[in-house]
Amino acid sequence: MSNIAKLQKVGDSTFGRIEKINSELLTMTYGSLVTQLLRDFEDTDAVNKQLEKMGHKIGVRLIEEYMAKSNPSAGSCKEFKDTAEAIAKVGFKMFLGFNAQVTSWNQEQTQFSLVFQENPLNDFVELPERLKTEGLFYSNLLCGVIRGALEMVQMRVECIFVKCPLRGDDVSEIKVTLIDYLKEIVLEDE
Amino acid sequence: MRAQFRVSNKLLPSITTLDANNNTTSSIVAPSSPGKQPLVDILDVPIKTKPKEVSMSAFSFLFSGIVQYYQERLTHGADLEQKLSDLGYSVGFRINEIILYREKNPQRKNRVIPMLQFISNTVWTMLFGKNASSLEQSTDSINRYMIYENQPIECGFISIPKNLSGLQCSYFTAGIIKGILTASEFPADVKVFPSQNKESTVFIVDFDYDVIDREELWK
Repeated sequence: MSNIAKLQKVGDSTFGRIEKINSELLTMTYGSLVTQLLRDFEDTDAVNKQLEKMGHKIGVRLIEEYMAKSNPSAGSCKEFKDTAEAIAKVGFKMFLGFNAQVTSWNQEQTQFSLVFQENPLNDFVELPERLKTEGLFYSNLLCGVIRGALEMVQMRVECIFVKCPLRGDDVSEIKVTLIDYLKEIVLEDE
Repeated sequence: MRAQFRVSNKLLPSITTLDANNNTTSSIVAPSSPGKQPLVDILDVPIKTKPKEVSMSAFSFLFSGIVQYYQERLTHGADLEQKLSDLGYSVGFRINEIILYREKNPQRKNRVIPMLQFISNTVWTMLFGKNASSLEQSTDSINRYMIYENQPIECGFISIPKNLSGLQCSYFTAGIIKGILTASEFPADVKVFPSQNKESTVFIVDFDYDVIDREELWK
């Protein structure tokens, strides 16, 4: 589809323009953060929730940078399909430097999966057995970021991590489900 | 405390563990479920010679998320500095390994000045893309050295309210420096101060007196 190719070009050119740093600084910082959260909470579910919450706050501000830096000449997203491709090809490329694929659409076109092989947050990471069985989603921050960013463009979604290479799968997979479109609330002036 | 060493043997998909009594136990690493690949041992994953790049805003967003998380949980400003320094400490420990791995002629630094030059040049370039602004030795005390930095990377997008000193975020970099020094057997304490002319940030490195005594032996 030419739309995907166009979005890919937008993503690549945006990534070429923005200021970049060594991915290892990001990797190590994120790793230290997750380690600290595990010490603070000691409960894997609480850590997952906290990562998602932090990601949500980041996503709320990240969408502005996304809109500002990526050239919106690719057109605004008319359908949820366009949103999905924009996240995968432009969003992920702009911030993390890699492309993701959109797969597994459901019948009503309200649920899709983002699949990606490489994830800079996962570099050099190995989870101990206990955390694997307890269900820690190491990169859960990404789910929160997607949820927060889409909330700012009037879409309420739910993001869950389905597969993670740190737990033995071959790819990472995030399932995104559209719940509803938010109506803009205009406060009435007195 | 039981010490565990993991040895990866490419011929056999198994993990051999040695405990403190030198008893070996081994277990076979099996795929966690049918349809999934067997877990690749992290020690076998090759390290890329050229690191990947991500956008600086990704790091800035993550850092701001971290600072917000700590600010919600802590009441004193000084605690925030300590927490950021601790975070940087574990980053520094790990960065030390990978930088040394990538260096063309890796040499173990025994003396203080080459070690600090390593930090202000090689480490700074790897993390921030440029060298530190300058490195000086203090005339007041024998164990004190200063690293100057004109534009700390992590504070680029942070605006400070008037009641805070504004240096807390540089404590993350201070923690990285401390982690690298400690991992290389130069135990030190690293603090952040505004410089005399208020334009750049100073990282004050106070080495433990053991390090200074060791320096004296070399002379």
